[in-house]
Amino acid sequence: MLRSLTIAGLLIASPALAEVDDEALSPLAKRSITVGVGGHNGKLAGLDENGWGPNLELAIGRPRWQYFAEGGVARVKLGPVGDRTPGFKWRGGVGVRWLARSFELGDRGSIDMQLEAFTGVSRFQFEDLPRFTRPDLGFGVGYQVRGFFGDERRKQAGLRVTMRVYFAPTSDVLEEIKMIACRGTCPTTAGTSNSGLMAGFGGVF
Amino acid sequence: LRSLVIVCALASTAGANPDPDEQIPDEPPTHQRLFGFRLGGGMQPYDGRELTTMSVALAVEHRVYGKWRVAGEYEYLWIGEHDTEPENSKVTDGNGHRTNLLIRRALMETGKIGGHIRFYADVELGGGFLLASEPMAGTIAKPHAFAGVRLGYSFIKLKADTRASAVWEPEVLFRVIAMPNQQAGYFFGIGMSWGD
Repeated sequence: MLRSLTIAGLLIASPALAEVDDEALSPLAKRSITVGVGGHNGKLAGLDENGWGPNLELAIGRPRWQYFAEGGVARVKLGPVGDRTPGFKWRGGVGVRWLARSFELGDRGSIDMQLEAFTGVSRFQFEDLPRFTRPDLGFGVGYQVRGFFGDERRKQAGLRVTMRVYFAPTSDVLEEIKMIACRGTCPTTAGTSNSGLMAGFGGVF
Repeated sequence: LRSLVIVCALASTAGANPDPDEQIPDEPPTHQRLFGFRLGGGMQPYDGRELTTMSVALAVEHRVYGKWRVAGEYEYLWIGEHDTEPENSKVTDGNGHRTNLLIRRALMETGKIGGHIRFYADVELGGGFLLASEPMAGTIAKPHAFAGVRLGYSFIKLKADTRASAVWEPEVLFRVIAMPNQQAGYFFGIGMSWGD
């Protein structure tokens, strides 16, 4: 039945995903910078790990594809409720973004749907814990409201909201961090998951 | 599986017996298909436990006849159990995938307001499959059926000659989910779609 559902899903999805050509949409800016705030809520070797902080992104490319590099820092907490260890997470990454759909607000703006894939590396710095690094990769979806200015809409500004799912590999180092973080009494149901949700909000220029 | 068969049977009936009165009264449809995304959450029963879900979904929809549409969805979801004390803390956490196939029909819709806005209320019926992993349950592989309502508005294109999407539709939806063994859960989502 799973196979049947997959086939049915692909049949439904294929025409809907294929029929908008590049020329139909207002192109993305050749270069853009995004300044915003990002938050995440996920798992580090099965323990809760979450936080938020400022992000910066630089992107190039058009008309419907953007390649971006991003960096940010977040104030984070690790561990079970009531016994969380505070710290910082520094993250840098690269990715690609596709302008999937666009609804034009007359000649001066649009509401866009975007899909993106990314990979990155995070450096964690918790109090009383050794520093460590964790790679990640994931995919995301989001929308942005763009305004067009100047001749031939070359100047753009807007607001973007993005939701991402990320995955990271587990390792012996993470297991060791986990045991220290929960003082050797980790919940038996903590598991080994290293996935989570990232959300971002920013101004695009 | 039985629920899915019923859904398919209903869908085929809709296609085989076209009713001339089913046309949208005011104008022809503004779009034939939708593509969008959604954030949502809810409760998924499993073996007597009430598991909390949160998901990010992609969805596509096709108009098949008049007000009848068929849609498919993929969700990446987090699934687990929460304690109310302290602070709604997580007890277990898992993740997985959910696919849905559904039929949807406009129950009520307004005419174009100001030429560019149309409010709607849809009803929907469907089924799907959940494949997830959760520490206490292990692998969860279960079919489900659901019925729901979808509310929102269509923002219809502002200029006639555009080749971009014809409509933009924000939505909220609520579903009651039926699992095997007469267990019931629910789902609430907000999202938006682009129509062509």
